[in-house]
Amino acid sequence: MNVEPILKPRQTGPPFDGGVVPLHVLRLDIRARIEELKRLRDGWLDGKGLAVPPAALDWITTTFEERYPYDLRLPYLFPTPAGRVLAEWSLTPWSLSLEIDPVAINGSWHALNVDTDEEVEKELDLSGARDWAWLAEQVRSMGGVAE
Amino acid sequence: MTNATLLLRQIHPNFIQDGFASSVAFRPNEADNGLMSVYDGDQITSEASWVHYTTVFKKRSDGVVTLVFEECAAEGLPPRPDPLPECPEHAVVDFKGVEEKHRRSKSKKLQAKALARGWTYQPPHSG
Repeated sequence: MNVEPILKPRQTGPPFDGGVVPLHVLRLDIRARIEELKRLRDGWLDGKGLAVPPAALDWITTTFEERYPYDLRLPYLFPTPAGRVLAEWSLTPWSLSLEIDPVAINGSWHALNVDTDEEVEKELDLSGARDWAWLAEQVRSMGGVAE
Repeated sequence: MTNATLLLRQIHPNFIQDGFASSVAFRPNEADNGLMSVYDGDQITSEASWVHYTTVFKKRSDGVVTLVFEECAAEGLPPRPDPLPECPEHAVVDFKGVEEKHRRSKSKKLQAKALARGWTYQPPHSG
């Protein structure tokens, strides 16, 4: 089954070091999305939905820049009603997600092959390098290397 | 409703990035008591459901995606009519039979099916 987003992220970005860098590997992508999430206030979901503290959102930006390899596809980022952030990668047939608690600095990893129902689940400590390396390897092994 | 009935799901703008709808939008949240609201596509079009949702319910939606009755039922998420006084076309997809920890898998299955099908309505200002 072909499962692709209807509108894909733009594939090219501004000139950089004499070439063109795919936009989905630019750090600006995460930073820009986090700035959008900072504008949310409590009640953002039709009167429900907790806002994520701005300092916690800044931690996500910084940590992705420091820990997430440049050659991997960046995730989409969404707020959750409970005041967390959900990172999602659509890597057909894999659907990957990391529900980030930026206050507790941990995350819940979930990978699902929507064709076979194969799953990988793991609770991650996002305060150090080890679990970020594990996450990057998961993304890489499921086809997440940027084109 | 029949096995072929289309179920119309409104997607909140904060659950859309670059045209991609989050899996969060395909499961009930804590306030929904395990029931995910949809419109019965046998009774209303995608565009009319969006107009109703944003003007009568006065809630935000940046587009409508479609599920099919039988694909929800196959995941153990039985749909059923749930008419409201202000919305006779209202229906629900019942997640109550699915443990909380398994709901994210179910939501991803629904998300994949809906996104493969594409947006069935997007208001002019979206995207």
